[in-house]
Amino acid sequence: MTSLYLAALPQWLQDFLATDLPWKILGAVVILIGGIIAVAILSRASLAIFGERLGPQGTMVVKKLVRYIGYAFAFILALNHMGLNLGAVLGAAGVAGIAVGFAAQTSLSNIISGFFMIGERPFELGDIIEVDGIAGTVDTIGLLALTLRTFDNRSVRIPNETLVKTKLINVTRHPIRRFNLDIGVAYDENIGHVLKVMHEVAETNLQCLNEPDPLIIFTGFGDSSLNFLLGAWCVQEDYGTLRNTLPRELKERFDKENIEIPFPHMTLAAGKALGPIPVDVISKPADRPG
Amino acid sequence: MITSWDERTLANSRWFHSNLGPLSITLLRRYDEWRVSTSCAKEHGIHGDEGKSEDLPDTLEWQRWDCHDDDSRICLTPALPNLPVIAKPNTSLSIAPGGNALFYIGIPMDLEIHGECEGNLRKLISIPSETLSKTWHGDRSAGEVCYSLKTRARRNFDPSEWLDHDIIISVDLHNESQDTFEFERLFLDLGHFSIFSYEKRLWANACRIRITENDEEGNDITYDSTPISPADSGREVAPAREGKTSRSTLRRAFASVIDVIH
Repeated sequence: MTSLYLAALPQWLQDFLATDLPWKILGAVVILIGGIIAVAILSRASLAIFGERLGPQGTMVVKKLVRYIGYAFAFILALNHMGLNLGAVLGAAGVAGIAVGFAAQTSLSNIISGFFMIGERPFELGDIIEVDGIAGTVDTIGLLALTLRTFDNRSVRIPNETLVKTKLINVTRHPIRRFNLDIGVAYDENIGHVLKVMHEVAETNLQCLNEPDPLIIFTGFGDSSLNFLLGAWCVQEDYGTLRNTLPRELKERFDKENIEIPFPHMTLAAGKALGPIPVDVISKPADRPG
Repeated sequence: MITSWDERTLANSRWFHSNLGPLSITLLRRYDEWRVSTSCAKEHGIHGDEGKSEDLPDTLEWQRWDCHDDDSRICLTPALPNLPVIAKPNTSLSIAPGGNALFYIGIPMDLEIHGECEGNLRKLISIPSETLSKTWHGDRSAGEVCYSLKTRARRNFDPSEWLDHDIIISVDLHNESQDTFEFERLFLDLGHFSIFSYEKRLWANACRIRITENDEEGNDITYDSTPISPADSGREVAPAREGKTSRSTLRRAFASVIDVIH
């Protein structure tokens, strides 16, 4: 019965089916499908195994890596099943790999840097970081680069290599943060009184944490002012509000207490300290016409 | 001051007003809406406790919630602040080994307003009677944000010394360690305290803290089911947010005592 059906097929197809090639192709297809399923399982397993240890971005990279290596492995197995000479293929791939490696040095450097960043985990998705003077929220972390969303909603791509090479500040790593405010007052003011007022302002501010204690110090004698530093602690979410409220409340309170915030000024003296500068009238002003 | 915590009704175009510490609160039912206005108690310009909507000054700023035409029930409920509190006595007190000290701490209440929406009472808003400043419980890399409360931590209860909007918590500290204990700050997780009304004042169930040598094993907080006498016959007006418990077995509770020690 089967031979009757085969006889109905074209001759070239009958010749093709008479060889073992169809079975090899079928086997290769099964290997590929099995490979895809195995990669999907491994990819999910990597999520369970590395999920907590590597964080979301690390897991994402590992998943991608598992997928790429898994697909390549399944493809090589399928080719091997088809009877291709893998030695020659891999040899050619090796030579090509060296050539590509030279050409793609930067990309490889970025990938390796990416692995270092995953291992070190200096930041997480959603953290606010500062790199090379650019600050923003970590949006995505890829094999080659991370994407930072700046506060004015621009997207900045920073290569992983740059992250390894340059200073990186993670602003939101710790739950609380200190806002430093430098302020100067006139030389006439009483230092003790100014310190007390600053303390009271920090204490009554709603965002400023009572503990850790605010840092309030006299930092020195400036050109035009006595200088102070007020370091107020707040929770990360309140930082923006504190930056607005604390200087305003301090200024209002200084105004109320008649504490002067001086502008930069310079005293000119003609040799004798605090003596008036001599002024000579060299000609009378011309009479105005009319 | 709010004296009744029972459910009440408010007809259309009618308002209800009360002071809550430094705040003035007005609740109005109008145009299928619940409206709530808060302002400074000295500046509200409202006369009386109830009235018609036409009598209200135009200057009030409202927050509004949609409701059904037939909805008229409202319920005001006292609540403890939604964050733990770190209470610091104005002056510290040393408790000798084997000694104990009973303190009264007053915590400014929050007012929860529940309004009927589609036949069910729904929480509309929670209004703190006083805005407390914040503080940090923990080190600089881990911990939790709390409210900071300066307290006189009275040793006995004199009604005249407390504000009407304070919820009074009695804390009984037992120093069962061999060392003198310096009471400088107290971390209070407010989730297990219920609120009781007794003679127009609000009380929370009493708690007892035992301080022992071994932080991990011995220290614990015991919550009574009622406030301290004479308020022990008070009526419960708000249940504990995180449920009632007689003894806290959570690490957080231990941490509170550990924190008191350090």
